[in-house]
Amino acid sequence: MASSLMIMTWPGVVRANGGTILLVEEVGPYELTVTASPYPLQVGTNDVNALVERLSDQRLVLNAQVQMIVEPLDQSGNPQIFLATHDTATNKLYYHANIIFPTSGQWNLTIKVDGPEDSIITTYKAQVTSRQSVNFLRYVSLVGLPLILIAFLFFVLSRRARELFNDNSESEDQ
Amino acid sequence: MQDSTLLLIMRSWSWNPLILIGLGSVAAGYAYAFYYFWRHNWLERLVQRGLIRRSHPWYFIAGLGAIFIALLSPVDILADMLFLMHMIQHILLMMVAAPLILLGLPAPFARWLILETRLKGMLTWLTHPMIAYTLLYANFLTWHVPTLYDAALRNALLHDLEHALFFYTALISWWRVIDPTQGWFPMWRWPPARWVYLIVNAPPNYVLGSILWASSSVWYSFYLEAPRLWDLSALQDQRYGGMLMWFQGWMYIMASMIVFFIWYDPEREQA
Repeated sequence: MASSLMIMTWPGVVRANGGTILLVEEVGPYELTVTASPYPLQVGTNDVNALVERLSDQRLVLNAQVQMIVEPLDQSGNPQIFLATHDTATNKLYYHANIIFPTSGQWNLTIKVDGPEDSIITTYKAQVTSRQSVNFLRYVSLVGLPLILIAFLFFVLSRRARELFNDNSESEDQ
Repeated sequence: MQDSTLLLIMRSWSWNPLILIGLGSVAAGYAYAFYYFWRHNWLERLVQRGLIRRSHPWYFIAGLGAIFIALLSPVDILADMLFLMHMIQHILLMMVAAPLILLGLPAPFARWLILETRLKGMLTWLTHPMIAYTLLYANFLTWHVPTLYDAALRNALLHDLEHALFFYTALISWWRVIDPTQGWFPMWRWPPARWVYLIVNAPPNYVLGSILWASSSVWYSFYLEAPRLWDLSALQDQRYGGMLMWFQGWMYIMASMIVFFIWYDPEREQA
C-alpha cells in the first residue's frame, strides 16, 4: 500500500500512451497526428507523441527521424531539440519524447519528420501553463485498489481461518 | 500488415503500477492462504473432502492472467485506437477473467472471506439473478451510450471506472452460476435455472452488436479522430466490434450448454 501511495504522488511520472490530440495535419506525403499528456501542456516534463502515416496508402511510417523543437514564441530563448523515438513510447507505433518546458507562456512546438519519401515540418503554438499540483486521482486505478484490498483479505483470512478451523475441529470431535 | 508494425505493437505494454501491484498482491495473498493451510495440515483434509481441488489455483491464475492481458498488454494500447480491440478487452474482463476467478476460489476460502467481511447479506441481495442481470446490463448499455463512451476514452479515471464496473458486475452476474461457496448462493430451486439464466444473457449482446454492425454512421467520435490502423475505416472497425458482441452472446450460449451437459443429470431427475 505504501508503494502504491508513493507511485500515486510521484512527480514527473508520465505515461507515453497517447494523451490529448494536439493536431492532425496533412503535410506533404504524410498525415501527422501529435498528442500530448498532460493537457494543457505544463511547465516541466510533458509526454509528446507523434504518429506518422503515409497519405497514399494509410500505412504507418515507422522508420522516420522525428525531432521536436521547442522555442518561446517571442524567440527570447534558444531552441531546444528533442529526439522522438519508439523506444520510450508506451504505444511503440508512436514517436515519443519527454519535452521539457522551463517556463510558462506561449511556445512554438515544431515537429520535424525526415521520412523515406520526404522531409516535412509543422508547428503548433502551445500555451504552457504553470505546473499544477499532481492530481492523484489520475493515477488511481479502480481495478488495482480493490485487488489490493482483496489481497489484504486473503492475508486476514489465513489468520482468522486458524481460529475458525480449530473451532470446527473441536465441535466435530465432540 | 507490415511486419514492423506487428513487432512494435507486441512491444507496447502499459505497465500501470497500481494494476501490477494489485494483481501481484492478490496472487501473493492467494498463495499465502494455501501455504498457511498446508502449514497447519488442513490442506490435505480439505482436498480429501473435495473442497479444494488441484484445478483451483490454475483457474485463479488464468483469471488474473486475463486481467493482465486486458489491461496491461498491447490489447490495452490498441483499445485506444480500435473499437474492436476495446471490445476484446471487455470480453476478456467480463467473459474470461470474472468466471475464471470464481472457479479458482475454493469454497473454504470463499466462505471464510465472506464471513470475515460480513458481506453475506449484501452478496445475497446483489447476486440475486434478477438484480445481477439488471446491474450487468444497465452498466453495460449505459457505458455504450456515445457521450459516456467517448468521455471514458478521453478521461483516464472514467476509463478505469468503466473497466472496474464491467469486471465487478460480471463477477456478480457469474456468482450464482458458479457459486464458489458451494451452497450458500443457490440459483432458483429449479434444475435448469443456471442454463436458462445463461441463455437470457445472450440477447442484449446480440441486440447491441447488431445495432452497431448495421449502423451507417460511426457512433463514437473518438475513433473518427484516432489514427487508423490496417486500412480499417472507423465504420468498418465499429462493424467488427459489433460482430465481437455477437461472439460475446455466443459465449453465453456455449456456457449454458456446458452447464446443461455437466450439471444436468437425467437419472437424478427420474429419481
